[in-house]
Amino acid sequence: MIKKYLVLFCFILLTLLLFFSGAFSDTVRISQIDNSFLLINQRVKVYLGVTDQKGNPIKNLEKDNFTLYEFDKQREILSFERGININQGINLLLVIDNSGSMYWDGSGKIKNSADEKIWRITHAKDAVLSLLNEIKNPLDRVGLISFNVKLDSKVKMTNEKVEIARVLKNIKRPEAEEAYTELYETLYQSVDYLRAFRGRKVIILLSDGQNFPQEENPHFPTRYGMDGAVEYAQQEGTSVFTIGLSRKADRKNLKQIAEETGGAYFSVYDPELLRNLYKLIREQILNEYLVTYSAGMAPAEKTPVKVIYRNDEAQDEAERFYFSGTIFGFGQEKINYLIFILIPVSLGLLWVLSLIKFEQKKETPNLTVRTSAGRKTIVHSLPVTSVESEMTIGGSGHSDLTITGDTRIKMNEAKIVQKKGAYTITGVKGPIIVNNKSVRTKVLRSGDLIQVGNTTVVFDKGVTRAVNKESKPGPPA
Amino acid sequence: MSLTTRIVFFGLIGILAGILTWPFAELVLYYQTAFPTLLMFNIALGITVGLFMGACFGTSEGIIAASKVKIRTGIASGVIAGIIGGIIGFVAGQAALLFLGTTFFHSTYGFQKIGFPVSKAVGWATFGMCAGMAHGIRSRSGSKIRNGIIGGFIGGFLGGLAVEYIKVLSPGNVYARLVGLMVLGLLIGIFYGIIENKLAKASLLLLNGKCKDREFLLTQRLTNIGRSPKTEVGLSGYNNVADVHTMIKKEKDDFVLTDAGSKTGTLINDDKTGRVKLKNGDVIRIGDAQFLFRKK
Repeated sequence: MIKKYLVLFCFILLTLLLFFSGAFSDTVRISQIDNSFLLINQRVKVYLGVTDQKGNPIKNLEKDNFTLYEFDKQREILSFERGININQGINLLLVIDNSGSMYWDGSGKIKNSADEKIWRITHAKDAVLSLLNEIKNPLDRVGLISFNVKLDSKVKMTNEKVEIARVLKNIKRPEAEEAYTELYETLYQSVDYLRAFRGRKVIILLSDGQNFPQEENPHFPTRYGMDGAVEYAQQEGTSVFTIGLSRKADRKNLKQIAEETGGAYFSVYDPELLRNLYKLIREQILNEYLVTYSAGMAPAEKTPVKVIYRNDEAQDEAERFYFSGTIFGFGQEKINYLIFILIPVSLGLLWVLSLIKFEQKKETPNLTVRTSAGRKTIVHSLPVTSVESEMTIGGSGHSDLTITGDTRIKMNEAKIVQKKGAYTITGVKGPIIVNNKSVRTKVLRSGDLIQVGNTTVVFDKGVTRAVNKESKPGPPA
Repeated sequence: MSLTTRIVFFGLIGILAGILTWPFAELVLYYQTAFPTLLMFNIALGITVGLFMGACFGTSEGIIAASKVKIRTGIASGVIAGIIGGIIGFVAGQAALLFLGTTFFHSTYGFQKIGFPVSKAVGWATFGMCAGMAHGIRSRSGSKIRNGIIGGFIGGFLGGLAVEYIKVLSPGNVYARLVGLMVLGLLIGIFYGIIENKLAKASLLLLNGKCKDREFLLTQRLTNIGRSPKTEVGLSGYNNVADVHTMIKKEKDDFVLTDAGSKTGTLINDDKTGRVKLKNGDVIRIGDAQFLFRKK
C-alpha cells in the first residue's frame, strides 16, 4: 500500500519537475561567430548568451555547461571566458504592429472608439518613445518597421533617434482592406533585414499578438509561419523582445517567441518593468560567454556550429553557421582514377609543341615586299639560273616586281642582276636606299632592306647551312 | 614566328598547364579532411598547383625559342617560382575568400547569390595573380612581372567565375575545375603574350636565315644577342656569330647597342659600330643575321 503511494508520489514529483523544467527552461543563443582566425590558427570564437525565461542573463556558468559540435562531431573547447565586456553598439529594430486590432482598447471590448488615448497603438508609441530615451550609447543603431498586411514606414538602421520619433508619430490607421496582421512573416523579414548587420542584433516586437494573415497575400509569396520565423531568429542569433499590447490571452505566442529566441516578454501595461528593457538588453550582452575551439576540416561552404547547454535540469541548444568556403570548393566524392590519364596526355602534347621548330624551309632566293601599312607582305621568288638574268622593281605594270598602292614609287626604281649566284642591285634613276644607306649599286646580302617609296623590300638568299664556328668564315652571303 | 603565333603558343601551353595540374589538384581536394588545418591544406594546394603550372609555363619561352637548354632551365626556375607563388597565392586567396565570403554571408540571400561566386572568383584571381607573377619573376623582368600579375588576375577571376557558373548550370559537374584551370592557364598565357607585346617599347625583327620573321621583344633591361642558348636572342644556326655577340641596353626610352667584342663586329646600316643609340628602322647585322630595329 505504502509502495503504491510512494510510486504515485514519485510520479507527481516527476511531473512537477518536468513541468517546472519546461516552464523555467533557459535559452542559449549564439550571438556571434568569429572565424577571422580560421586561416591563421584554425580557431573559431563563439559568443554565447544564456538567459532565463525572463530574459535575465545567467551568470557564472562553467565550461562544463557547454558542449560544442561541428557537423555533429564534438569539438574540444580550448578556452572559456566570462564577462568579456564587448564595447559594441547594438542594432535595435523596432517592429510595430499597425493592424486594425491595434486601434482597439487593451481589453478588446471597445473596438470603435475615437478616443486615441485608449488605443493599443498609442500605448505602443509611448513605449517606443520612452525606450528611445533610454538609448544613450552613440554606437547603438535603431531601425523601425510598421506592418499590417505588408511592411511599411521603414526607417533604416540609424543613429538619428529623432527620425524614428518623427516616423513613429506619422503612423496612420490602416484602411479596412489593409488591416490584416502578418505578424510572423513580418518577424521573418525583420530577421532577414538584420542579416546584413554584424554584431549584436535585437528585435523589439510591439504587437497585441494576433496573427491575422491575408490569404494569398502577394507581399509574402512564401510563408514561414511562427516556427520558421523563430528558427530563423535563432539561427541569426537575433533575440526578440516582445511587448504585449493586449490584456487577453493573445500574448501566449509573444511570450513563446521571446523565450525561444533568448529575449523577454513585457506587458505595455506594466511600465515599471518595461523601463528595464534596454538595461536588460545591455546586461545580456555584457554577460556573454566567449568559447574558443579548433575547427574541423570537413569541406563545407557553411559550417554549422551547435552548442548544447546543460545546467541542472535546464537544457537548450542553438545552432549557427559560419562561412568556411575554400577557393577550389569541395573535392569529388570518389576519385575517378581515369583522370590521371590527362597527365601523360598533357605532357605528350607539350612535348609535341616543343618539337615544332619555327624555321623557314624555303631555300630559294626571294624578295619580301612590306607595304607602308606594315601588314601585307608579298613574297616574290627570284629566278635561280646559271645564266645571267635581270629583274626590275617599280610601280609600273611592266616591272618584273610591281609594287602598287604606294604613290611615292616611281615607275622604275631598281634592277637586280643575278650573275653566278650573286645578286647586285642598281638604282635605275639615281641612287637607291639599301639598309638606310644611299648607294648607286650594291651586292645584296641575305636580309638586306631595300627602301622604295614608303615600301620596304627584304632580300633573302634563302637558307644556307650553318657552320658552327665563328672563326671559320662562312660562304659569302 | 609572328606575334600572333607567339600568343597562340603561350595560350596553348597555358591550357596544357591547366590540364596537367587538374588531376593533382583533385587528389589534394579529395584528402581535405586529412589535413589538420586550413592553412596546411592551402599550402598543399599551392605547392601542387604552383609546381605543375610553373613547370609548364617555364617551358614556354624555351619552346618558342626552340631551345632545349631554355626548356630545361625554364622548368627548373618555373617550379621554384611556381611553388613560392602558389603557396602565397592560395593562402592570400583563401584569406580574401574568407573575408569576402563572411561579409556576404551576413547579407541577404539575393546578394549572396552573386556575392559567393564573386568571392570565389576573387580567391582564384588572387592565386592566379601570384601564379602569373611567378611566371614574370622567373624571367627576371619587371615588366613581365607586371604582365603576369594582370594576366593572372583577369585569368583567375574569369576562371573562378567559370567554375562557379558551371556549378550553377550543371550541378555535380566534375569537370568544372578542369575548365576553370584551363581558362586560368589560357588567359595567363594569352595576357602574358598580349601585354608583353603591348608593353614592349621596341623589337628586333629577324630578316633572314632559318629563323626569318621571328620577332624578339626588347622587354628586358638588358638583351643579349648571340649563339649561346642562354642569350635572350639566340642565333644558333647563323654563321659568324659569337656566343655573346652584342648587347642592347634599355636606358630610359632609348635602346643602346654595344658590341661585345666579337670578331666579325656589329654593323648598323652597313657601318661597323662599337656602341650606338638605335633609331627606328635601323638595320643591324650580327654575323650573318640581319635585324630590323623597330621602336614604338
